[in-house]
Amino acid sequence: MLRYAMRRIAYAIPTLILIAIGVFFMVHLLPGDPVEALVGSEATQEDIEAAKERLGLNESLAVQFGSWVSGMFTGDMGTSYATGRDVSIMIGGALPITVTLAVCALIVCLIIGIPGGIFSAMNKGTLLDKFILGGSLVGISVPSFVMGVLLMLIFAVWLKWFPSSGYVDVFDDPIGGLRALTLPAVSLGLLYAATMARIGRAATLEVVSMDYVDMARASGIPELRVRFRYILKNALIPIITVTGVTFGGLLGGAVVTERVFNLSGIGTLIINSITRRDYPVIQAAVLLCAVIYIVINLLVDILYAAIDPKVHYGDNG
Amino acid sequence: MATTVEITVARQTPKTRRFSLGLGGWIGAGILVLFFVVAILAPIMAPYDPVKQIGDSLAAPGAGHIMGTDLYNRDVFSRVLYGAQVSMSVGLIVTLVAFVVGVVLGLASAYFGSWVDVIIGRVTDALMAVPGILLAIAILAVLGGGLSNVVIALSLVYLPEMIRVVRGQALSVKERLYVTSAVALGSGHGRLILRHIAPHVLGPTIVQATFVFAHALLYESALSFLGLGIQPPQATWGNLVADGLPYLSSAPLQVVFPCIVVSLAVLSVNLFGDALRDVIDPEGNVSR
Repeated sequence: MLRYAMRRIAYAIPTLILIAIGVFFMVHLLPGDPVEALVGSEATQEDIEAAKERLGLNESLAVQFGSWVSGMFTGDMGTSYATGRDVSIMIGGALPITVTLAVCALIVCLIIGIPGGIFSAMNKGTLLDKFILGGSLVGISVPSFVMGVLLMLIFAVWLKWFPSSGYVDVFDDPIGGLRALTLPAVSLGLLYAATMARIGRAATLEVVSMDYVDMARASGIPELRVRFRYILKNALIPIITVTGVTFGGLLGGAVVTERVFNLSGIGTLIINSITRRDYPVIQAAVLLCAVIYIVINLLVDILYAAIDPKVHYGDNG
Repeated sequence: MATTVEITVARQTPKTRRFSLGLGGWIGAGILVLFFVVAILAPIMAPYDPVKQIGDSLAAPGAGHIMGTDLYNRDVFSRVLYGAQVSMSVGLIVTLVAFVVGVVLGLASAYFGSWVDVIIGRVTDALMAVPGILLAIAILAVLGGGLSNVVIALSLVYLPEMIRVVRGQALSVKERLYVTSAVALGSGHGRLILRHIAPHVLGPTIVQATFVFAHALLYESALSFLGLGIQPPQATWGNLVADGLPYLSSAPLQVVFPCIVVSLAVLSVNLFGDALRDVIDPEGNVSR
């Protein structure tokens, strides 16, 4: 098990390096000089040189890359071109909002998606199954910003049950925080619930058709026990894997939802930084999201190997 | 006439299946065709110029403007029709690029193996390790907005998945007995790939392509909504929603219409894609 985990981690390293290289050189592909944008059009040649010296842009690319990567590890993510603040502080302020939104959306997604999928599969062919299938098909077809806008229109503008925008810290004001998060989390979570329901249904259907399930029924094990011990337990295994991927997707999807509900999370930070051509912030934020995504998938893979008796994590895998 | 020994080999004709998409599939296909027709005929069908300022600002839907007007006095209905042009072209081009390049690279990866496979595999892993929308945003941050850049960004987002599907399918086909026999009979690389492997890879790849189409529509609208995709004043469904959002309480329908249209477009592709997947059973066609 430990060996499998170690190998899985070792396998993620080249991916991380490739992403770091990609994100770093992204800026060097840009037309125009970011430094000139930074110091402004009135700056003299000396100002530009001084700024380059200060930002370490006169070093070779390899040296710059090295110091950038080591900075990421030590939390020194550079200085924002636009605000002059530490990038790590800006990200530190935005990340909790995005993570809170993603976690709440994941809860919505799991609460609706998993029972929906399993229920649908166990009642295959019934009206309920068709209803859930149809609903999930609509769910995967609606863009996240559309879901956000429509929920906002109904529950914030017309019914006035929830605020239409803004973020309230859940830890400062639990009720206000939850109220502010409800619409964003539901609009984001519902869409992923649709995917989850489709996958959950497929996973359950696959288990239902297994010989050991027939065998269990034939040996007179009560139906309820068959469903829980034999079907549910095994159907949950692929669902766990999908949960990891879903959480990563939610972090990405949060970008759009934050924009709809005017939440100042990582997504809004990235979008604003793009309009301001604030590359250190974009680089750090994109890299951070990618790293979180990879680490989650890594943990899920290892967890999957730990709970699924069928996965052989021996030396031949 | 020389004596010929005639050897009859029972030719393996794939069993022709009745091409039945089912009701949902046909409805999806029908709506999709309708969207393409609208996209092509938008200049004829649109009652007004989509970027021209006419009438009042934020006029409610009614006679003259069936979906109302936006903040800049433009006819929302005309903008929705022209939005179909953008969405359908982005969807179509991204799907074609992902399909063609994905098949070529996926086949190469599976067939040649060794370092070709390693390099393609590593790059696809790295691309897939970033959430799709974020990758698209990062690419557009570098390239800037506009139709061609959105196409480039979305193609890069969906290419890796396509390569994986093709590669996986090709790997399993490659090990089949008839491929090994073809190798033994002296088939060259080109013949092996084109004649023996590629045809069996197409089924799942086409199904995957419909999902790419649906996602390209979703992401194009989202990117335009974020202001990173197609730039105003050009009309896209995403732009329309973004433009109308600040006036949601006073002019909700100008936002609701594009919302419904974009969802309907994606739904039609998904209906069609799901039905297609049920018809093109990847194993059913190749084993026999």
